[in-house]
Amino acid sequence: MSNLVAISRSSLLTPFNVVAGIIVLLGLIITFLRFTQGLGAVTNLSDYNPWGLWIGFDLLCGVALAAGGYVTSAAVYIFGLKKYHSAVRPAILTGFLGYALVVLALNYDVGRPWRLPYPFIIQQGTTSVLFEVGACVLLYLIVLFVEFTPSALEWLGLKKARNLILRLTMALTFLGVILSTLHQSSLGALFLIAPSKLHPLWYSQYIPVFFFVSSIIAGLSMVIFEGSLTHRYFADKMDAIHLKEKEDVVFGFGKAASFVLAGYFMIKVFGIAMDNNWHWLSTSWGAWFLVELLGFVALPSLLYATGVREKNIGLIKWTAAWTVLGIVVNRLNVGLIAFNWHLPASERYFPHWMEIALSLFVVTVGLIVFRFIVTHMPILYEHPDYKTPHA
Amino acid sequence: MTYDESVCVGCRYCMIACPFEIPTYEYDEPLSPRIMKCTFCHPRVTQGLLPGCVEACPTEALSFGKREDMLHLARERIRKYPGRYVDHVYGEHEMGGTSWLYLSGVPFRDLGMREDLGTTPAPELTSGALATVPMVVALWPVLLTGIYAISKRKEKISKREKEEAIQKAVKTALEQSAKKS
Repeated sequence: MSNLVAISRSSLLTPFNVVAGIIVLLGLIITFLRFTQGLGAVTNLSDYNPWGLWIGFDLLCGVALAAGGYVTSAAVYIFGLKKYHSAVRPAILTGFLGYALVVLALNYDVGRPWRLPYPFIIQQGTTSVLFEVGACVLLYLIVLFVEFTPSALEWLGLKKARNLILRLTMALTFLGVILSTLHQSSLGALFLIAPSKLHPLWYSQYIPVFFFVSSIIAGLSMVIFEGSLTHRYFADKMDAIHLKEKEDVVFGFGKAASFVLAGYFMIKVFGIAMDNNWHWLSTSWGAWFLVELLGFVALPSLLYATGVREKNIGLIKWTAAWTVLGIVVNRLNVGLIAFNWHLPASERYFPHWMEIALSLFVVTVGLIVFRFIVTHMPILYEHPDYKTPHA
Repeated sequence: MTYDESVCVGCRYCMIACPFEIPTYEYDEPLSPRIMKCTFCHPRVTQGLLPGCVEACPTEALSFGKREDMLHLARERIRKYPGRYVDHVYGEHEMGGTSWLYLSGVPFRDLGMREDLGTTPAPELTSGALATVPMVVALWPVLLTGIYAISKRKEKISKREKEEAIQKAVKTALEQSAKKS
């Protein structure tokens, strides 16, 4: 008996569980502080800096990095690239979890979270970009939830409901692409209202297009990045089809990412030309901008292309991780770093450690739920009762 | 401008949007934080009183009235005392024009007031982006259906070609075997 207890204890005390447990505990303490003492006690937000890490990272990066769902389902169901079918479920799952976590983080950031539905039911501010973002994120969260349910229904053995929802696949995919186009771009459009606060190298009329196009890059790269992680940690859960198609996904998505990055590079350059911002490039802000443009856009475009041509899976995977980092750099630049660049250093924002800890908490919650779902539901393998014929 | 606390979610986008950094937030209120900004003492004005600051100011540095009258007053003062004021009414055109108007004896920049804001009202900065929303809603389904139709058709054709190739191969094989026998 004591032996059994020892075994179960040692299997629970894995490094992941211990670290995750500490972070979750810390997150719960910060949650308590936030809702008893206010944002002032746990953040470095100020009247000059009303948006901090929870918007810059949790919202802006979260939404961009959850783009894999719409990108993958569009590739497979609309563009007819069926050989990537096995990538759909993991991508939808991370998309859904990503958006759910964004909404979770928002509940900490906004003043009265229970009023989040107010813009829909009490009073609509249809002239605000934020209304558009809110509406699309809410609708898309619902879409992603419905798209995810077949996995859960197969796990629960509810065959009829599962088949009913599968019939909605095309409609949901269309809706997902439309809603994603709208809110991915609108997240950028939010900053159109503040030309006096966002540095001219990042402020552009094109910023909604920048955000939309880079979300495609983020989606493609996240699918590769995440695929390599799941392959490493959940290989035993993957069936033969997933293992076989995995390489196709890496090469196909890597190639697509290389092309989209090249296009994104061009429109970023056009953005500079449009506003004649060349002279800013010689400043220190310009140097930082070039790090982003050359290091995180041009470079990964070339590396992806090289990786695909030389069939170098390792290179593509590292490039995917680098590109994901680049998206984070871009969103933090727009939301925090190049925002309020005009303020003196004493008024600039740097996150409080509790803001960072809560962001880690949100990510950790995501990882725990992700792990539970992929180890219980048919995400990385096809449920034996529901095999689909493969082309 | 007034503020309706009863519908505020506390997203603080107004603070992001304000180029003059006017709205402030009750960061220490855990559950009922409000945005704080000058409303010209709206409740007092509706009672026919002056805003508190205007009534209290001992040197009458502040005037309150209809915007047009205030602009007129400001221009009149600049005309009368050209040596005392910078020839600019701050707020007349900044970001489309504001309700607060300022006269100053020193350059506004020296007072920490930005002179690079332009004359476009903030809502106009985002109206173009919002206007594309219905276009995307209307045209994306058309575009996506087109792509879907093409990919379906390609699939159909390749399937048919495959079947034809198989039939042909079977036929030749049968013919050959018939010849042999």
